[in-house]
Amino acid sequence: MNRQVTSMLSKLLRKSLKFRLGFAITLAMVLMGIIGLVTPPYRDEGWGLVTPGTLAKQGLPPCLPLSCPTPLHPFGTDEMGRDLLSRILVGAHIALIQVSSVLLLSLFIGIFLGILAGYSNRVIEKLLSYLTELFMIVPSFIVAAAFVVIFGRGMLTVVMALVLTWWPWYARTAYTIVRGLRELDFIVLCEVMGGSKAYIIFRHLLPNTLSTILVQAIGDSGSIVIEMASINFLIGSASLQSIDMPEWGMIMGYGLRYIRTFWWIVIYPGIFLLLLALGLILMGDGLSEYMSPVLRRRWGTWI
Amino acid sequence: MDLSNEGIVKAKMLSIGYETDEDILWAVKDVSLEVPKNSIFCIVGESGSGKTTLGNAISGLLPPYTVTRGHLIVDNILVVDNNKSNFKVIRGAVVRIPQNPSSALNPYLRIGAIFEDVVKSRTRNLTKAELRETISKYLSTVQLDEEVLNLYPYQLSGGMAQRVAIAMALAARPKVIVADEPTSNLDAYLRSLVGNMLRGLVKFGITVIIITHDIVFASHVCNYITVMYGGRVVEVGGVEEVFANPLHPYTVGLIEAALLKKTTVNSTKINATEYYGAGCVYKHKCPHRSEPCRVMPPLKHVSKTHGVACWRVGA
Repeated sequence: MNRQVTSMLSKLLRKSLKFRLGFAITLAMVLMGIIGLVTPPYRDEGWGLVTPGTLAKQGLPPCLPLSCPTPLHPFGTDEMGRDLLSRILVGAHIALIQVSSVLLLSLFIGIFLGILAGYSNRVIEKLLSYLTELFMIVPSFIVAAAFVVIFGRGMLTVVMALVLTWWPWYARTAYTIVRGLRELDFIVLCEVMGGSKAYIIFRHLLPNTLSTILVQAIGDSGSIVIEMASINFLIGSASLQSIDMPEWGMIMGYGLRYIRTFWWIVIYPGIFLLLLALGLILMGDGLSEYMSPVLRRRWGTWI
Repeated sequence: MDLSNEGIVKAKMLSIGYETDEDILWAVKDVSLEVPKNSIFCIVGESGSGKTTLGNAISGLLPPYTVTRGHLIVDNILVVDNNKSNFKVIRGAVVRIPQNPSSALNPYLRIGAIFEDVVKSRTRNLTKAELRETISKYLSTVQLDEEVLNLYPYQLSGGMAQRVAIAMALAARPKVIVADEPTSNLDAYLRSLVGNMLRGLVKFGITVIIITHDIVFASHVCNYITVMYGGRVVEVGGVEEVFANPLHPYTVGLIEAALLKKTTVNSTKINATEYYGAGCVYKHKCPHRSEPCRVMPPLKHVSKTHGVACWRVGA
């Protein structure tokens, strides 16, 4: 399995320009996250500490080709005088952790409940299907708003809200796949030979479900970034005090009120958010085009 | 039926139906048969004759919305007792060979991995060497090399996949193997190969039940044959008896059709619901229909093993 993944990855990197681009951007983001964790230029400022020293350099403009007030702060400083580059660097790993935790948690819940629904008796199947549909129609923004009121704002709140509205899509995909699989001969044969349910689920149903859903999940991760940033943007713009946590969406949301004077507070985190989403979407596109020859042929003429 | 040989699968007035919106659609109706141990038993009939449903019942694969009547005994265990059925008790004793062998193998696992699972599920605590030896023993009975074990199912040809399926069925060490249309996807050469392999299974002490529409294939492979039409058994018997002296007009028609002797259409078009009306199931197509055919004839035995359900016999 591991060898297969590596060989597929190398083939993808060689064949698909889209995947190569997306992979490079995502890799750069991961590197940024590591740099931000290990050695950002101004660690305390990056994590949101405001001192008299920082307040002295409020709103320094960024380094542009024709005007560079200080090379110490290439992206300028924010309204509290904190170095924007450090904040973006420290925020990189937060964004990555948020995306991957939402993805992994919703994948886990979704696949588990989907397989359970697809491979159980009618009562459980119906019950879980209704549950899935119920969570599918709840908008993530409303859940996030409710959670912010209940639990207060923070990374965990947003992740919880997104997981709660994200898993039904994977559950439904898994359910559909398993419903088709359980009629196939190899599952039926396992049942006839007396294989246990756990054996059938983990040995046969899970691998067959996983490949499809993982491709879907990687394609989805771009939209998770956008969705998460939107919720954080709203939280940030509703916030009365300056944001400490260097979450890109929140920085943008809070910085929006200064856009006429300190425009760089919104623009630079926005660029990095865009890049992360773009990288993940390109990667997912490349992967799904690789998996589906029809798509590959259709787009192959110009990519 | 050969009574000196104990029956491993016995059906007594077995009926199997599927619940529909209005009423129950009986796919198998009042079937009584006995499959002798260590024999090759063919169930022959056209599409919709209920042969697959009967095979599913024997292998314990009836969907939950089926209705059963009568009794089915597999390996001395009462599996179907009127409307109660418990298939869990025969899990492992009956194994199927599927119609489409390529869907019978998990596409994400190598043949070797699937094979190991099958062998391990029967015998615990095997060492690696013993496992390999057991697998190669089963592979050699179907004339496959060990290289097959490193392949994925999509890399196998249809005949190879079918032989792998047979070897796996053997490795599960069942008492009964139900083969549902085992040769319908194969060409003539592979058909004879698979037929001979199925015949060879008897020496492992396995009873083979072959469900097929191909009466010529059945005549070459089987010891006993059951002809079904419209959910009922119309003729049973040893292969020689039935082929030397086919008594039911449907059997005669089947043999003629298989030998490409059919030139005329002797049937009026009938719809499925008419099967379940009163009277002989075959009366709509029968060239010899007469007054008594308004009642379904019972299965009458003309010899010890040879039975036929037709009013023209023994009247």
